[in-house]
Amino acid sequence: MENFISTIIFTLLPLFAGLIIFSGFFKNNTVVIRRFAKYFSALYFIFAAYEFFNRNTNSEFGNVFSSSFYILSSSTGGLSIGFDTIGSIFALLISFLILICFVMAKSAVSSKQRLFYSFVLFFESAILAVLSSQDFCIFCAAIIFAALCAYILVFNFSPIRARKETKEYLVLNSFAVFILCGAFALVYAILKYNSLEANLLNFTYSSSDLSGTIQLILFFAFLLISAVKIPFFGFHRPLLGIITNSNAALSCIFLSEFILGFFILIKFNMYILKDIFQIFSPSLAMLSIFNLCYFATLAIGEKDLKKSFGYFCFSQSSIALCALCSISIEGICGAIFQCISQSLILLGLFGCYCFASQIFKTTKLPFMGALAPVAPKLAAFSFILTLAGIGLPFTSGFSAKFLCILGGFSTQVYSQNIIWVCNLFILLGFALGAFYLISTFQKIFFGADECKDCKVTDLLRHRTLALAVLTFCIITLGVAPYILTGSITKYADMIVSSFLM
Amino acid sequence: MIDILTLVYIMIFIPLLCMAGITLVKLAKLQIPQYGIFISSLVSSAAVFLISILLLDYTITYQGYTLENNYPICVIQNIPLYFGIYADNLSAIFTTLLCLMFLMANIFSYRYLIQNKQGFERFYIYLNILQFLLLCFFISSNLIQCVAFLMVISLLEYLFANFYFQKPQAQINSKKVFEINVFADFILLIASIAFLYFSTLTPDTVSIPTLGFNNINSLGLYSFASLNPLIFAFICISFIIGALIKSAQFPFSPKVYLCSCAPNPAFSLIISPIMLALGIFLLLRLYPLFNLTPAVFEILKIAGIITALLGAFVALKENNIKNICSWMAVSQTGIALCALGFKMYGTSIFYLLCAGFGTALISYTLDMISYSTGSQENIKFLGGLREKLPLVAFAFLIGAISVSGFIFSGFYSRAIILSNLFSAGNFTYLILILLTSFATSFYLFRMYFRIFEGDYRGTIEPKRIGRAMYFVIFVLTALTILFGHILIKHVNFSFALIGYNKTAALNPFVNVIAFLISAMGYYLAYNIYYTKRLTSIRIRTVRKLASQHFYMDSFIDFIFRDFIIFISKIFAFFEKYILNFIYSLPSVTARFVSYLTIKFEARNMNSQFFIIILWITLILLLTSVLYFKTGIIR
Repeated sequence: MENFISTIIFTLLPLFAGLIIFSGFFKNNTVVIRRFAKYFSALYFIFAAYEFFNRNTNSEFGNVFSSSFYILSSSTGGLSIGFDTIGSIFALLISFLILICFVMAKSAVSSKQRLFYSFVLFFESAILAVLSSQDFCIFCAAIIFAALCAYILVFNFSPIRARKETKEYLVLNSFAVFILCGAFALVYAILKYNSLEANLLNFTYSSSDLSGTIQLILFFAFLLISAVKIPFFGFHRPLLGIITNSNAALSCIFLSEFILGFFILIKFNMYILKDIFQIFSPSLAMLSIFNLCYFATLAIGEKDLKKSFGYFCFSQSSIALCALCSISIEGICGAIFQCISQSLILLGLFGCYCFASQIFKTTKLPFMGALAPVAPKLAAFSFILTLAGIGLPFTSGFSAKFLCILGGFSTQVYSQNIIWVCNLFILLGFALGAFYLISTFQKIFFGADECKDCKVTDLLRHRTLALAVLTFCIITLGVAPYILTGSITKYADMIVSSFLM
Repeated sequence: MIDILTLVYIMIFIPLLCMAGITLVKLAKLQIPQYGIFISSLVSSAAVFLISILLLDYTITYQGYTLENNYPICVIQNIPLYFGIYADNLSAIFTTLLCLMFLMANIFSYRYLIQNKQGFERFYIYLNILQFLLLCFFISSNLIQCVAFLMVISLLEYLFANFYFQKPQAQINSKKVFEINVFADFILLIASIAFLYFSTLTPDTVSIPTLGFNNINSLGLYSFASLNPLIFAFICISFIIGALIKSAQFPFSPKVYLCSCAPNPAFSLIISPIMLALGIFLLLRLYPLFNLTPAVFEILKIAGIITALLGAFVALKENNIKNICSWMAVSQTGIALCALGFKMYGTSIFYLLCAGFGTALISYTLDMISYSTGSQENIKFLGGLREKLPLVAFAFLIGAISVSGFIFSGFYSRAIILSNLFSAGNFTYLILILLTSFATSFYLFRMYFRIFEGDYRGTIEPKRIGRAMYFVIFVLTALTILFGHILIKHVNFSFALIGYNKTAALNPFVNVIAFLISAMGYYLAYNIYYTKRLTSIRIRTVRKLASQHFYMDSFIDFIFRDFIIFISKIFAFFEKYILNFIYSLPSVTARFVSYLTIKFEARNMNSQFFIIILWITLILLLTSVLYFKTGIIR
């Protein structure tokens, strides 16, 4: 019960904070609103880290997140809530991303601060509710609320030309969410028919008793929402539009969406509907390799900085997807690690690129160049993040890529040859990603001097702080990946054992 | 008393400390004179060199005993990754060579950097960190460590190539270098991980050892016995391809000359047998693995000989001294690799070292000429420097004689390879190596006559060269003259040092032929460029191919740029038109249906066209429903 209350508090705190801002408590005083949101997020992140650490039964540092913090309180009926390992890791990651975005938002959001900060907090709360939910109703309500918050934020804080893409994203997202709701309704009906309480735990236990057709329908319903959020090829256009028109402060939206999609893929498609996932894993692996190469190639040829960055984001997501399809402990571990590492790297890189485009007052790469001599701090951080993105040793990118490749080789699925071949093609994706990153870095920071008429300022203090924290995290995870892998391994082991059963 | 293991650790971390010190000075903006930074770097490299000699002495004295130590630095999932030391003869000889080259680079660099007035501290930071990384690479105890450090070395190569980042050419070239290196690194990484998994991760393995070089033989045997031969061959071929790219072999040879925008001392390091031998060193370490699949040696032979020959031909056409140097280094590495392809393990290392000293000597003399003549690097605008810089001319001549294989170290190393090929009856390769020798001799003496003989054609008067620079060429000259001789005369020493075992006696017939062929090259160059009795030979096709670098540049541009851009444009077209159309289809359809509905509701549906469409749709729907209901398709 204590855990249940903690989870409720943890999930709803951002909502309350957002309501305080939204209700006009601070009377449109932008400085106070900004500081309140920032300090709240910082304290909240510390609280979350402490809670997760404190809940852990094993005091080893390598096992910060253990699955002991998994609650299903029968006393509350269907409205059950609680974090499992992956949920808690992703929750902590999202609270960290939002904290960094708040730090970056100081100069990125110049108007409607009340709306921005409150809705980002609402969005955070909704995402945390999705991650912690063990109940169909809460899950569906939270995911719809998250989609609405994302829509309002992007609609209000991106240029007018981006509204079409925003609407498209809302439509696509809603379509996927409604299909998900339909799928849950089906599960609900089946569980009730079998006289079982309708929650995710019972769904997990009884999923293998469902007929193949129903499992297939559910699998595609869950896959659709993952395909929209991660995104897969064909579903990427609206999200690309959002990234293209976002600023540094809004990067938390698309990164959170990606994390959410990945969470659904692991938890529902992979863990609960394991039989179907096993059948489709080679196809998904091939799709992910296609995604990887397709988006990375597009990123190289694209002239618009943010658009090319969007393509690069999508290609990086595919690495994790490919590793996941191997259904091995190393692969799942690598996929989750890649997801975390990628979120941190992309957040930092997007921040750097946004600052660079603010200086040049354009996002067109041909009109950028020679920024390194005038903004050395920005160049240094960008270079470190670029190297981490490439996967240089001693950065989190290397550990993630190492685990993903190892996972690909250690696959035990029935068609392991396909996964091995896909694993070899990953090389192509890595190389293309590296080419994109290094050429973009060179174009912005070296290249021809396009900076004559622009007002050049190096990183301000708050931006430096945000990038320094991100760099620190990336290097820490690169040097000591066992901080995360210890706990992820347990979760991965649980998933793989369910496949072996 | 400090034991040798501690000394080796100290040796590795001295450059890192030096780098940290210089970085702190730069960041804190302390007013320390540039001379102080130079001295600190010099002292660091000298200390490292002394320790490396101690290590070499240790490995020679305790023959067969390998210094080994592993320290677990991180665990990725359940795989412990070690930072370790594995010091045998091979690593000791390469470490000593590396430390010597860095000492020379340090001594040489001061005046050069003072002259160029740019990036003084940055240069020493890069230099020390590169030394640290190379030490970690050569002394690494396991394959993963080797590959990880190789990846970071690629970064340093990029940073050196982009040192003068204001130059557009430096930016373009450094990017290409980085792309080639990254491609090779990922191939090696995938091969290493595949080998790691397939050789160690078996269900009955309780603890997973990392790929230590001490048990690479047993791991290779195990995986060879248990694996599908195709997979094993794939792993070996991936290692070879990665190593060939790292060693700038065909068709990736332009990688070396693309680094020519680097500062001269750094460029000398890049073309030295240290940086070019990174791939070869990896191959030597994995030699037991390749022994199990002898077919892969064919790749080494072919790639090596093609690189050697094409490199020499390209150097014939070049006029830029840095470019000639880089192609010469690539060509010599190709011969060493070809020898490795014939399983001449010790001979290959011997050749690499002998040719390496000669190459380094030539590159440093050319750097001195560039320094003296105010960065004039085109041999067409040089000449008559023998009178102005006699010592430099002498050193260049020694280097040219050695690398051409007339006498000194170059002669011995080449003679052994040729004799072995002759006794094994590999006449094709023998002839190709002789052809390479001819071309090498020709372009080196062409360069000599162009630079040192005739009249000076430069615009500024050559300036005086410092004693420190002379010291560098003095050391390298001595090594070029004596190294091969010592090794060939003291068989036990050479066996202890590089594992070279004299399997075939030097064949006098082959060596006389080889000498004559090199002499022909000299004679031709003498007559064309000195006495001018002959005019330059113009075989149009070869000249055109050589000037185009045998289309190696175009190949690299094609696979790393043009092809990707082409595919990207196709994808962009798909995105812009087809995907856009698909996305707009639901909205257009919805609008159309809505329009129809409105019209229908308002009873304005007069058009026969709409009515026909509605009827057709209805009929199709009914037909399909009936079709499924009758059970033909279930």
